[in-house]
Amino acid sequence: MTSPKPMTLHYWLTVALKDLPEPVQLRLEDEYRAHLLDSESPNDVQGVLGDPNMVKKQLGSLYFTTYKLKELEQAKRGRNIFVHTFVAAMALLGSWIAWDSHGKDLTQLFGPVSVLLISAVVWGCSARSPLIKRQFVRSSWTVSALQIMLWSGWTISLLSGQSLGAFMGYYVALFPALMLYQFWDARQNYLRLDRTLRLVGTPN
Amino acid sequence: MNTRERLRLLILAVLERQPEHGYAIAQAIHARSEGLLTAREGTLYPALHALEGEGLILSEEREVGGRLRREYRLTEAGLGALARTRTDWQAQIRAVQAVLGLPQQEAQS
Repeated sequence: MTSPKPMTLHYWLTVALKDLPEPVQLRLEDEYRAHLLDSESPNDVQGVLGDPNMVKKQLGSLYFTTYKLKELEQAKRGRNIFVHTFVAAMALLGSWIAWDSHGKDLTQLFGPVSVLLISAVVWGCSARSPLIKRQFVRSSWTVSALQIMLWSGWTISLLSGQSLGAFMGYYVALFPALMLYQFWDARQNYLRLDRTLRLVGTPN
Repeated sequence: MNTRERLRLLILAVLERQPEHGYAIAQAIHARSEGLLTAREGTLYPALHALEGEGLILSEEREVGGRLRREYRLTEAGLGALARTRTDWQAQIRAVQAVLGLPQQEAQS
């Protein structure tokens, strides 16, 4: 019975660096090749460098794949416009309710107006960023914007003494934790994007 | 301290002495720990790239022994992070020693 062929460096690199953008692959290929040449067992690729699948997983948490970068380059203007049009419509509705109640019921305005103000800040702060980062930041915020508007409406209703049921009560209470996680996740992905673009470059 | 955090600390500690390329970092970790600790060499480079992304280390290509190598060095931010991690690690060691009833040792400078 013949022993299995030792893993080649080419195969190891193909697995470990799969789907990463080419500039990222080139840099890592140079480093791994040099490392193996320096080692005492340059023919024992897996013995020196370890499991390529484990390395692939770790690199995946640091860099976006080529496919993901292309996806981020696609503008999501349609979704951004739709969500903000909806929020603006809710602001108008809140304004009508406030006018109709002769200024007594301003609570319905709070959520949509807050979200629109934050959106204006996000759009303004990201205006000078490279296109792909700009789209990432705006798209990430838009996902949260609608949720925050709805949550603020339910919270105000609860605080005004309205009953929304046990499920909504728990949702309102737990929502801030969900939002914190979303923002943390978005920040981690922004850092991943930044790290990737440092090697790939930022066409604008 | 998990494996990932330990590897980060070891890399920063090695680079505190002098700039090194990846293989030299792995060998330094192995040598200074008298063979007890090994950086799993394939996973060393994701850790180096992560530290560089955080601004704790910088890298540049240099010619070493007639070959082009990427050398890493510690930044000011990296020095600060190393000092903080050392303090945390020493506190953990003291706490474990206290629980085990071992004599408290002076922290090495």
